[in-house]
Order: sequence, then C-alpha cells, then structure tokens
Amino acid sequence: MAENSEEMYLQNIEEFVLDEDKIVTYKWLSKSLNIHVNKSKQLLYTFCKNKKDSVSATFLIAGKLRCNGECHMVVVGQDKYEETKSLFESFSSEHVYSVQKALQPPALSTLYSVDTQPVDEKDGGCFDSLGAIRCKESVRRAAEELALLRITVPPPQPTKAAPKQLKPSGASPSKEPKKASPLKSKTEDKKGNEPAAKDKAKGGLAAMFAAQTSKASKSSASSSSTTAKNNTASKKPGGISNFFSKVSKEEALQKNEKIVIKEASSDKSNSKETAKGEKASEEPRESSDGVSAKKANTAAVKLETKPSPDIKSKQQPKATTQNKKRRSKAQEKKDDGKKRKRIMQISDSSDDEIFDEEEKVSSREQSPVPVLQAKALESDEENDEDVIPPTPEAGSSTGRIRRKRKVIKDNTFMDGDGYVVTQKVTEYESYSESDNENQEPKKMKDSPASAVVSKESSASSSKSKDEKSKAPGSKKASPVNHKSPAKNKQQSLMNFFKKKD
Amino acid sequence: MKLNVTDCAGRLMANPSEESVDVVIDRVDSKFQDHSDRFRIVNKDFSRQYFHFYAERLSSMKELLLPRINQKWGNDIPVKTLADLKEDSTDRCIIVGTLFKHQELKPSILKEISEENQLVPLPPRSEFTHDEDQLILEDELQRIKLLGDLSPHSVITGVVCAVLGAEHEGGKFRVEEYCFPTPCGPSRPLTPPAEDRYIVLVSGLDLAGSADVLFPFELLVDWVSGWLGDVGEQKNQALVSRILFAGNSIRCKSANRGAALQHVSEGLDQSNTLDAVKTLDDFLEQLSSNIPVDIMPGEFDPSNCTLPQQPLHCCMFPKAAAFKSLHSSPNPYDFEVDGRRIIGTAGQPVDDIAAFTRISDRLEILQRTLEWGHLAPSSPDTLRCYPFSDTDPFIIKELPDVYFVGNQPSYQSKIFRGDDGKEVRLICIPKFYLTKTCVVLNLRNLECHTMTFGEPTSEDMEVEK
Repeated sequence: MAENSEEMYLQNIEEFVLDEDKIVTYKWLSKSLNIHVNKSKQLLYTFCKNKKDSVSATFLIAGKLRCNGECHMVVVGQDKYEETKSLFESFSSEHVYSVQKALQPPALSTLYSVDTQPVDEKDGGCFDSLGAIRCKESVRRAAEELALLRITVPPPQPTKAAPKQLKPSGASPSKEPKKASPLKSKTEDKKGNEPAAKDKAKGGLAAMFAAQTSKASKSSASSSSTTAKNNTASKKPGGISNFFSKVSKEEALQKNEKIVIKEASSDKSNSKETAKGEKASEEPRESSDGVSAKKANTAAVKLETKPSPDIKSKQQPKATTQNKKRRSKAQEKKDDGKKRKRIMQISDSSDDEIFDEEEKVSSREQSPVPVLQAKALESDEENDEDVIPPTPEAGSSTGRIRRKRKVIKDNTFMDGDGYVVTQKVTEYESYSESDNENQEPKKMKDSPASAVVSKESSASSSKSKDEKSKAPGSKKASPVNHKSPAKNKQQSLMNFFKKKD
Repeated sequence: MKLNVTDCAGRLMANPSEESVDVVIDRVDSKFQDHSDRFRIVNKDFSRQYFHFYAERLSSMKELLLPRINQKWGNDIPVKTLADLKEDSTDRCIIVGTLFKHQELKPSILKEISEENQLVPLPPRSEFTHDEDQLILEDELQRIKLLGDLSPHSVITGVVCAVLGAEHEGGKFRVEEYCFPTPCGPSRPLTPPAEDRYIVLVSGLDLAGSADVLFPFELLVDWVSGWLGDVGEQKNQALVSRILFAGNSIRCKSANRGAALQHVSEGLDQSNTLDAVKTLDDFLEQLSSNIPVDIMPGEFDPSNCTLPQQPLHCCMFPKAAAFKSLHSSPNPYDFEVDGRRIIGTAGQPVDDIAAFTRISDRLEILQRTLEWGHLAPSSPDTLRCYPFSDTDPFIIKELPDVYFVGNQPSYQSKIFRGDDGKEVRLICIPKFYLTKTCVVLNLRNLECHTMTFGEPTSEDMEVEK
C-alpha cells in the first residue's frame, strides 16, 4: 500500500474525528472510504496511537473467558480495556472498534446508530466488497422472480377469507344480483325461455328470476376446480351436442367460470353470496383433496353417469310446469339453501350422522357437480344418458324442489279452562309437484330469503334418491337456522302462548 | 468453533504494513435441502374438528410402536384394544392409546365464562399441574383410567403410549411398564461433512421490545458476515454455512398480555412492530448478501398463531428478499444441510409442556418429545394447531441429527442416544434479547458452543470463584 494513500486516509480520519467530531467506527470508515474492513481497523489503530492524547478508542475483544470457557465478544472503552482483557483466557480477535474525540467511551447504542448512518449514503450496496467473506450463494434474484415470489400467496387467501364471512352473512338477497350477472351470459346462450333478459333489465329483483342461472353459476364456481373442468371437457361433447353446438356450450361454461372466479377473488366483502359460493366450492375441493384429486374425479364421474337420467326426467317436468316466477323463486331458494347448508356442514360437524354421511358424499361429488349441473340445465330436455354429466344436484334439485305456500288454517283446541278455542294460524306448507318424497310439513316463512327449501335440494343432490329423502329433513334442521328457523320458533312459541290464553 | 487462532489475534492492532490483511475468503459451499413441505399448508380449512387429527396420530404412531413393543416385551403378551378387555380377567396385556391428562387447573373456556360473571379477574396462571391430576388412556373407542408407574406429571395429553399391565378393579388399568414410540435412526443415513462446517442458531431477538438488543445483534451480524474480528476469526466465519433464526425475531412477548380483552389496544403497537420489521430487514439484507439465512416465525411474530406457523412472507423483507439466500421457513422446520438432518421448533411445544407438566428442565422436555416421537404432543389440546385430517406432520418418524428448540431461557445442549446408537444433538437456543447469546454448531462432529456478545455477567464471574 502506498504511503500516500495511507496518509490520506489518516488525514480523513482526523478530519472526521477532530473536526467534525464524529464517532468513527471501523465499519463506517470502511464504507465511507471504501476500503477493506481489516485495513480500516489498522488505520484506526494507527490513528489513535498517533493521537493518544486527544482521542479515545473502543476495542473489540473476542475469545474464551477464563471463568467458564465460554466465548464472548465484547466492545469496551479503553479505560476498561486492560481490565476486560484480563478476563479472557485466550483471544480470537482484538482490534479497534471505534475512535472518538470524547474521552468517555460512547454508549454502545450510539455505536449502533453510527453504523447505520452511512447506509443512506451508499445505499447499502457495498456490503459484498468490503467484508472479508464472500458468498457465492448470495445472488440477487431477478426482478421477475421477485415478482413471482410476491404473488405466490394470494390465491388461497380469498377462499380462506370466505369461510369466516359465510356464517354471519346468512342468506342475504343482495347477493343475487351479482351471481345472476355472470350467469346471464350463459343463460342467454342456452336457454331462450329463461328470463335472463328480464333479469338484466330489472336488476336486483330480476336476479331472483334467474335462479336457474344463479344455480348454474354457483355450480360453475364450485367447479372451478380442475376436476370439474376435466369432467366437462371429457363428457360434454356427446350429450349436449344434440341440442346446442358443443362449442357454444363450452365457451359459455368457461366464461361463467371465469367470471365467477373473478368476482370471488375481487370482492370478498362485497357480496356475501360470492363468499358463500366460494366457500361452497372450496369445501368440496378441500375435502376431496384429502382423498386426492384423482379419487374425487373418478367418484364424481361415476356418480354423474348414474343418476343423470332420473334427475333429468324429474327436472324437466317441474321446470316446464311451473311458471317462471315460481320457478325462479324456488331455485333461488334452493341456491341459498345450498349455500347455507354447506356452510352449516362445514361449521358444525355436530348433530346427526346423516349429516356426516352426506357431507362425505357431497364432498366427493360436489366438485364435478357444478359443471354438470350447468349442462343438465341446458340439456334437460334430452335425456341422453351419454356424456351429460349426471348432475346429482340437478336430480335432487328437480325432484326436491319444494315450494312453500302460506296457508291459513283453523286451529281448534281446548284450553286450560275447558273452553274450545278456534284460532286462525298462518302456516307455511311445503309442497312439491314432481316429487312427493318431501312431504315434510314446513312451517317456515315464505320470505324470499328463507333458504330452507333450497337447502334440502342441494343437500340431497349428492345422494341417491333414498338417501335424499332422508337427508333433506335432517339437513333442514341444521341449515334453517338463519332467518326462517328463528321465525319458525317464534311462531310456534306464540302459538303456545295463545293456546293457553 | 476452535479458538486456535490466537497467533492471528492482534494482527490488526498494528499499523498498516506491506503484509496485506485485505483478505477476501469464499464462504464454504453447502448442500441444503428443505424437508418442511409437510408443514406448509396449502388448503386452509378450519372447519374440521380435531378428532381426525388424534385418530390419525394414534393409527400412525401405533405402527411405529408395534415393532418396539415386540422388541421390548416380546411376542407373548397380547396387544389388545380396550374393548377387548373383559371384566374380572387379570391377564396381562398391552394396550396402545393416546394419553389424556385430566387436569383440574387446565384452562377451560367454560370456567372462564362462569368466572367472568363474578367479575373478579383471576390472576393468569403459568403452572397448570395439580396433585390430583389423573391419567387416562384413550384408544380408538374407549378410555380407561391408568394407575401405577406412569406419573401424570411427567407426560402430557396427546402422547401416544403403549402400556403393559392388567385391568384393575373399578375399571382402572394398572400399568406395570410403558413404552413410547421413540423413533430409530434414519433409514437413509446421511454422510456428515468431513471438514468443519458450522451453522449459527439464534432465537428471540425481540427487536420490537428490546432496544438494547440492537448493538449485540449488530455484532453478531458483522461477526457472521465477516466484518468483525481478526483474520483468523474471519477465516473461521467463512466456514459457517448457514444462520438460522428460530423464531420471535420481531417480538418475544405478547404485545398486550393481560389486556387480551381490549381489542382496541392492538393497534397501538403496530408502528413499533413495523419499525422492528424494517430493522430486521436491514440486518437480514446484510446477512443474506453474505450467507444463506433461514428465518422461522415464532409465537409472537406476525404470522399465524396455529402450528405449523407459515413462513413469513418475503414482502415483509423487501431488501433482504432480493437475495436468493434468504429462506423463509415454517415453524416447525425440518431441513438438511451438509449431510445433517435438522429439525426444530421455535419453542411453543416445549413451553407448553413446561406449563402442563412438572418437568422443569427445558432440555429434558426436549428430550421427552423426542422419546415420545412427536414434535408437539400437546397440540391440539393446549397448543393451537391446524386441524389436520389425514396426516400428523408433527410425528418424528426418524431420529434427526440435530433437534433444536428456540426461545428458551438459557442455553442447554446434550447428546441423546437412540436405541440403535444413533446420536442426536439436542439444543435449547436461548433468547437472544436476554442472553445476547447465539449457538454455534459444528456439523462435522455435532459439537456446539455459544457465542455471547457482551461482557460476562456477574453470574459468569461467580462461577470462577
């Protein structure tokens, strides 16, 4: 090393310490003069030897302690230097850590702040060159890679968020519009008779009419899982081809899926429905995940193929017979119910065994279902057993759709005092046209929000008929709990009191 | 790390001379493999209950147990389920099941609610054992109370165990001997490095809570990255192939402990945490530009609170994440470096067991969990945990080479020897903010020692006398 540069460096240090009154640490010096750390340590040593009287130094001592043989690394002022040094049995390092004008050694925290200072000058970029160790593995990531890293996490998040929202949300009618909209495209394409056009025009209310569509959309959402896609891809061609061209169908489906997915991810808070839908979709996926996607896939396929004919036949009559309004309502309800039901399933593994059973079955089937359903809707009229996805849901839904009517009944009974009392009681009665399976008396309110009806249908979807008939009842109990159940209870309670009066 | 470099020490206490000290050493290469995928949760579904988790644990640990039962007690004694036990028969048999410890003092939400009504806040407990604690063994279907040797204070709920004994009157089971599913050595032995290789283990920086940790931590970082020290020291540091932060780097204590009910107050500490994260980012940047870094989340870090904790997202460390050498890992963490398999947690399981048993020595607890073959047996009972359904990732199926736990009150270490002679280095990594101490482990011979950044405490000095 040239004497000159050394001289220059020493002058620099002198300037820093004496003129600018700075605390100069080896690290800071190394960074600001851009010299190797070891050299800066030596320079500091030389400097404080030359200026003993006017500056003080702190030293770093590292080594084994005499007392317990442990390794320590200490930074001490020169006043305690000898004393501290005597504690050590052997040394691994010893050098000047910092030099400053004040005779009292600075607090250690001050030293830390000194070291962080130069970072803003040099922007920390000089780390590699000045230290004594180089590391080949420390390579900066490419910008693209970084970007990728940042993105990796997001996808699962929306789904995660969904579950939480589900419960509180209940079945809020506000959802409908959103769902309906994605569906529209589909419905328009495929179902001329559907009130899709109206939906658009009317907005929120109209959305209700689009129940079918919403259903479809939901299914599509849930189907977003790859399995569903696969199914559709493989199975579709045959069945639908009769009615519509394959291409159009597929396109529509894809559209739907995309839209739904987008929605789901974009607005968590926005629509509870979407959240629900997502969750619903999520559940099957997850549960099936455990089993492995393959299983789910195959299982789904099986299920689909079998039930389809029955379902279709059932569905059709219903759909055609009912007037639009009713139908849409019912379906809507179904939809809600489904969602709710699923939620319930997820949330409380509680009550009945049936529930568990169902869950299993449904979880397996559900992922494929959505697409199928969509198809089913379209291809209702054709009963080809061929490729058209069995849409267990469809079957269940069609067969199961239950509507409720308001019925005023006379209730006559003897009260406590022996008087015969006749009361008019408003009750909700469920009836279904096509399927007489579900005769369960429902005393639910008919408010559009009440998803009870729909629940059953959705629940049953995955099951075979027999199972279905059982399932709905049991399910009902659990899913109902949002609005309708509460109302129900109240009503009955009221009844109770009235009677006594 | 050996300190046979005293001849070099002091070379920097001299004037710059012709003999150049501007050495630049290449850090050793290291082979690294992450085996922690089982701790990374892809599908987050919290709708399940924990039954499946226990069932899965029992069934998979039963498989591990059966060979050991054979080995220990031979084939003569039948392995039965509780349902097979007949009344009045006093034949000896073996039962495999999950231990459940009935604890009077175990926190219960129901109790808390009922106590809330009286509006008298109870002092938070840190010990939950009681003399009346009872052990119950649960198999797939039934449960039975245990009598005998097995002390409830030395085990914890969730441990799978085989007990040898006979049914006692009153529907209890008298335990003569017991056996835990202690894993054996790895089926695929690794080849340890032939030369000295080191890794540095740190935990509990508590950057948000302790201001006085900054300078020691800077020393640590400078030391590891080759800024500090003499040439000899730097040469030694070049042999360090990794540095691992075993949790609680940002915070070591709950920000609002004791004020758990005041949700409002949570916002207050955020800026503090933010600053700490930035500081950590700066340090990590310097480190990761110089050495491969693993950073695990800890109990109080901004990660999820259920085990397994997911890796801190790289967006938290925008500067450091620019380097490929920054490796954000889950907690627990299972990896392989230079032919050594290393597993460890950030400390929650051991802390939890310390609170619910009467084993006070952290190192012993660590060893117990190894003997029990489970990283976190008390989850999900008293330790929050993700509801796995088809797998229990915490089961230790093979003995690792190093088994560490972070955030312990003091440094402790020893060698655990498995039945087949396999040696495992157990390490309790101390909290850095309290002790200013990190652990240096030699991968070649599994020796380890500490490095403390600060003056010896008076306690250390007393040892001398």
